[in-house]
Amino acid sequence: MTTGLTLAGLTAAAVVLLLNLRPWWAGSRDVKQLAAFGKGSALGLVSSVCPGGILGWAHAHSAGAANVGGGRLTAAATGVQTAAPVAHRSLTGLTQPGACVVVLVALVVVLAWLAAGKKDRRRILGGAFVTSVLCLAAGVVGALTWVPGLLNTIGASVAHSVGAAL
Amino acid sequence: MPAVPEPEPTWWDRALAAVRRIGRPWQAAAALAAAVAPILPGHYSAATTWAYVVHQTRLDHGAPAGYVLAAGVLAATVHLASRRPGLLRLWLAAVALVGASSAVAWWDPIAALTGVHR
Repeated sequence: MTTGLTLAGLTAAAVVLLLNLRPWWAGSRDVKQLAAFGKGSALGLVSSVCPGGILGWAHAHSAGAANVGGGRLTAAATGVQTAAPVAHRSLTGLTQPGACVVVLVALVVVLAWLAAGKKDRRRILGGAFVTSVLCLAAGVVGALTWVPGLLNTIGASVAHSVGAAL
Repeated sequence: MPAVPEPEPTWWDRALAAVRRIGRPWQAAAALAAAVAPILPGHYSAATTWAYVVHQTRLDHGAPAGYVLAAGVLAATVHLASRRPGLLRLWLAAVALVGASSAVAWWDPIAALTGVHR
């Protein structure tokens, strides 16, 4: 059972996004400082493309955590319950070559997470959380419908060039 | 003069030690050979027959059922063989080991991660 994203969950994602972007914007604005957050975002994006499996499960259940966290935050700060649902839509159409690319991207991010320090690990997790939650909202998904096709094309062209019959 | 520390056992040493725990190496080799020997009618071996059963379970009831059957029987036979070693029990473990290979498909980890099936 997948819980739908609420306004509170969207707020939680926005909070994590601001916590990551605001220090960067107020600081040196060095693009390299966003590398860890970007790697996490890549993992969140490829997991939101998955129709199931471990990644798809984590993506579908990121809404629950975001709803609870954001609901507590907004209720404690303002006293307003924000349970209004956000229209849901999902990225679809991942093929077998695309799935291989997803696995490789996830592997790269996991390796980066293992090699990262404590702070960068939190940034990677934050990026994955933010992107995963945002990709549950219909508006964001509408702007990202090209992602599964891109993954499929990359995977298919690599598989074709090495002669793999997927 | 400081004592020279014992070198860490390599994975090969560990594997040999594990084999020695369940029987002499020639017994293990004989059990493996007997497992894949074409002793059944139609030149099938016990191992290929068990592999067929595992594969058919996988086809009929899904990949998890194949893994559960193969791993369960493998664990049971290895447990039997290591508790009281004997050529027959080693043979059973060898049959289960070779047969378990047909439960594995290279696409499984990708499907488990992404939910995309072949």
